[in-house]
Amino acid sequence: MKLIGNIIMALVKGKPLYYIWIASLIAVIVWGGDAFIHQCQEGLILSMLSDSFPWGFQIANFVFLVGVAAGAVTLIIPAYFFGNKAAREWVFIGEALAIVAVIMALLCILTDIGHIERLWHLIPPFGILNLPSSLLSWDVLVVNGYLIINIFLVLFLLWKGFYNKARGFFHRFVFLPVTYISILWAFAIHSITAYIFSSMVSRPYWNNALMAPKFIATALATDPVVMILVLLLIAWRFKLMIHRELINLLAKISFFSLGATILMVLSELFFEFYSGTEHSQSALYWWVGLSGHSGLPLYSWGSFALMLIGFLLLPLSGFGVRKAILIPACIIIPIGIWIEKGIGVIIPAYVPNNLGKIYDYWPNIHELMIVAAIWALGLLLYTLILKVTVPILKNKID
Amino acid sequence: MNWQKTITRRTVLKLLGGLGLMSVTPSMALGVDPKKKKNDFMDEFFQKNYRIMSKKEKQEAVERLQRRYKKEYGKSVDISTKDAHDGEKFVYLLDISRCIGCRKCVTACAEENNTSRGGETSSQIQYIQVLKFKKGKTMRLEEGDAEYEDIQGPDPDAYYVPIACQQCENAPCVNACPTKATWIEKEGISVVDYNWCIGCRMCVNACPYGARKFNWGKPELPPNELNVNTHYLSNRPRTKGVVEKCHFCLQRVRDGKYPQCHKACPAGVRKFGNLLDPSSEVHYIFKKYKVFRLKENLNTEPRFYYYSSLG
Repeated sequence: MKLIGNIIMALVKGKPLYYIWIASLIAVIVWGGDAFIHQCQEGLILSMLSDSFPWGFQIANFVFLVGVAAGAVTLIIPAYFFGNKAAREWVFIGEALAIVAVIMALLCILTDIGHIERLWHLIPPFGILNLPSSLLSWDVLVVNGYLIINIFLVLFLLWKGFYNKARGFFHRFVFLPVTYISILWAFAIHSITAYIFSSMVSRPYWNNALMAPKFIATALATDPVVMILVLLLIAWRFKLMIHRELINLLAKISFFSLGATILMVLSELFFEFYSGTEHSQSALYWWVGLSGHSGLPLYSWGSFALMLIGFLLLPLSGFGVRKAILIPACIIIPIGIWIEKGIGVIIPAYVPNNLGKIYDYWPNIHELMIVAAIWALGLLLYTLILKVTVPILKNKID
Repeated sequence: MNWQKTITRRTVLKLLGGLGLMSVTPSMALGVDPKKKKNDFMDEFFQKNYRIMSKKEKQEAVERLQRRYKKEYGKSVDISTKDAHDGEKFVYLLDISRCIGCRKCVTACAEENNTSRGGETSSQIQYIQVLKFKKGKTMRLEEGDAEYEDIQGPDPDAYYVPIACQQCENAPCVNACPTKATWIEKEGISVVDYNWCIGCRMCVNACPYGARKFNWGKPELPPNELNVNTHYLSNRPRTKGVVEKCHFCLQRVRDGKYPQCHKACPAGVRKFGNLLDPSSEVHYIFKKYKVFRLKENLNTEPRFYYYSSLG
């Protein structure tokens, strides 16, 4: 009971900036929610999607957000695999990020399907999951499982931190095993999300074994820098000390993962441009344009440049020592990856379409509104979770 | 007080029986048809996947749909639930050397199958796309023009390739569906349960032939253009947010008729028949001509073949 009282107090009390932030997020959610209600009435005809572009901006964000969810392991692995104490103190911000990202990813799907009220068709025993053949059925299982696992982990940490429990039976025989499962599970959700795409023989751009490794490398490059930003923000708002060692570790994880990503992008560039078969047309469309349709190369090269600059800035910042270099790097790396992994994965796959025709797709204001609302909801949730958990777990951190 | 004595086992039973009767009778007493009291909307919402419905459930589902269609279109729609016949496996053959590109099959198909005509609330859906190739060009799909202008008579410098669902034996779309809302029926035709499809468009992505179409908005079908002879798994009117595709005119085929595109073709380039019947026309063509299929390298094993009878 005392815990619930504390949670409510933590949510309500705040500085004016906190209220403004919350209010503006709610405004965006209402704005996008209205667009969604409109969509429920009219159908997806409101978007720019078509039979040539069955998936678009929402699925692009889904892919990125599943990556953010999976990337939470970049704190969990050092914390529980290598016994890094600094990482263990902050592991809950990673798990909370995973929860929020999974919820956002699910919302991206829910707002993109034709019959949201028929969702129960996916839930056995009332519904039917097409296992083992449908990768989307697998994804439903693993993504929801990951959500449950991480909610459990955060609640456990909260309970332990609040009542100042020592490490006991539950820690050893419940918390730790579930934590290890969550690590494997994180790789599973992102691999299976990649397999949704790479299983499709119909789209040569996706039908590619590099899909899963690249998804995981980009996820492991995104999360550490996002968590650096979150840690710096927490340090500033709550006046807490963050171990320099932890920032350093996260910056290095991101650096190496980004290196792997860049290597894979370069391999793809070589592979597609050297072979130049019919199957390379999507890649050509993405990197240089196809038959005069050349809107996307701005984004492909832009995203590649952001990743490359981020890759150089991280060591230049002394892996976290020079904040003035570190912070810009932490901002541009996720943006670069968001472009590469979002629109860069989805849109080019449909060009040319299955009958060889070239059409362009770009999200319209309706799709932007819905995605903006999902992001606002995610930020709101994350803000509220941190607002509650940080003060409760602060005793330990201090 | 002696009231306790009067309550015997028999009175209790009577009382319970009376309560039971009361719960049944009001609708009868008021002359309300108990069937009408049912909530069609909720019943349709909770109905099962077609494949696991009992005969009775199928009948109820059909009646519900008929009531809905009556309200929407003002017409009585006949919805068949006829099963596949034994000993039938259908294949389609198309003679690309004689197709004149008139697109009569495209319009006949749309009329037969109650597809969305397109307009304000929805995009147009056509199952068949005809690609026009310049003579001298190979059949690389990129070379084909899907939006060519109609001309009087065939263009002597062109050949045409109509493409619809290839009815793959190893269908990527069916494997991709997360809810088993689409499957292959016994005679080899893949169908969609429009009441079970959640509209995720995995199948649209998985199909290598662009055959699957999504109802992006509420389908636009003027009531006077509605074809009332339908089958549950094929051409009954659809709602927004579900996928549909060519089903070899299941509603006709199960009645022993040819698909509508076959009937509409003025050049007779479309051949349809039972693979299991050695005396069928399709067997004759298989023996006489070289046949090929689209995107064979994907191992989808289409049941739709192309051939060329004029060299």
